[in-house]
Amino acid sequence: MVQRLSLFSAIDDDSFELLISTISTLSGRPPVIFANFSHVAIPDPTYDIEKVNVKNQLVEQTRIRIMQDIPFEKIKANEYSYRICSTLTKDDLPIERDYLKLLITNSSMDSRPSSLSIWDIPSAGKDRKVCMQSMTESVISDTGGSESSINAFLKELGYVPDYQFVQIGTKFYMESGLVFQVYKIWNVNDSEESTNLITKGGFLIEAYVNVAKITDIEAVNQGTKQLLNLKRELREYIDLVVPDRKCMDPRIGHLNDF
Amino acid sequence: MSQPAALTDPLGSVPKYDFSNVPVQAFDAVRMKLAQLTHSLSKIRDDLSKADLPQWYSLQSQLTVTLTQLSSLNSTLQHFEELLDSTVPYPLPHFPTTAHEGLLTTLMRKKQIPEVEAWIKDAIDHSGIDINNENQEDLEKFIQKDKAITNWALDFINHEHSNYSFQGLYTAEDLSNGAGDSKIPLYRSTTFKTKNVSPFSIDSVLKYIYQGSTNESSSVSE
Repeated sequence: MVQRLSLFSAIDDDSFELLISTISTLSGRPPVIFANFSHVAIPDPTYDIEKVNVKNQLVEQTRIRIMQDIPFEKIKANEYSYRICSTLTKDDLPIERDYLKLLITNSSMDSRPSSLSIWDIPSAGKDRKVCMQSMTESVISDTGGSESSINAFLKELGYVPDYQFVQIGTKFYMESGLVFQVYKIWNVNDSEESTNLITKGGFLIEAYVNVAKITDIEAVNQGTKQLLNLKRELREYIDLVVPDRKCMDPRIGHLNDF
Repeated sequence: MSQPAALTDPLGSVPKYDFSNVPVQAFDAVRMKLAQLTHSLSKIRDDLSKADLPQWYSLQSQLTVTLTQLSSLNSTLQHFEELLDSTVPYPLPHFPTTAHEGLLTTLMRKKQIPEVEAWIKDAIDHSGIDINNENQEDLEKFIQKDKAITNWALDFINHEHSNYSFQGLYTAEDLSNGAGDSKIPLYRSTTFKTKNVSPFSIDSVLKYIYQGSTNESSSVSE
């Protein structure tokens, strides 16, 4: 299982341009714009799922996240650079609703590959310097069957849609696998045919390093060191912090939310 | 059979020398200055003989240091000039004259070594005056002229120096045009309100990403 070491922060809308120039100068890398659509599914609640050994947390149900990138031609904008991120401050997305709707129900040939990921709650520990979370990820390149779609595929697994969101932002691929992301999140409300901006008035900042194996202590230490270096360099400007691990818990049935 | 001790072994006993008139302080001062100077000079020579030349600014700073040491040595020598001129060194009787003849002659030498003599001759030749044939008045005149040139050069450098602004962020031209007041800093202090105020709670956004709960419900639980 891949370990993701990460740190988070947030900035307001006005600081975006300055942050981008700061990070470009600091890393010597260009900003890369990205747009993702995420679809999160939960095990079908109508099924009577046997909760084996759930008290000891040996077998747990967790959400599945399907992520697909949104091609830039679907984004309505005059220019495709990181600058469009600062113009997106409203609830409305510059993306056609129909397109987003079709993404998971599309059975046509032109469906694009998606990534399927399952996340665990971040590791516990009071003195953690970075957030460490296990995840496993796979690529769905195609779905089979007569009525094939992501949705149908998930249904076969016993999963039903939970919620969907869109991320649009800018990322930097810094040295040694460190990724620095600045993005906004829109909740895509399926029933009301509307979107609402979750990150109102600002951007979420995420800096992460993926380590292939948790047993590779050296790589984990190296990644932690890199994140802490970044944190030190940005000190007094952006405070990169370790978030509350409970907020990053995608498991089901632990917060009375099921 | 008893003889005075002084006569039995006149060479073995060390006579009491009077060191009180040796200008130790002056010698020590000059020695220290010379040691510093030789050290810096040899460092410059080593640096220049290296395959990759040092940066210009390090050379310049070394040169400045060396020049300062040179002028400091000069002033020390001037300060003790009278004393050093009137001091006559001589070897003590128990100095091994035969064994260290070379060292002794070097130490006792009052004449310049041939190299230095060549330098002096070279300088005189280049100055274009004939010391032997010109009279005192002409020499005085020549020295006055030399001093005048030096003064002119100094004035010129000072004038040029004042034409440029060596500090701050503006050129002298900018300053004379009133482009910027050098007293007001161009950039604000970094501590002044650059700290970001988080526009939302990071935890609540992460809660949305991982659990799908919207801001309202998370704010209730917090």
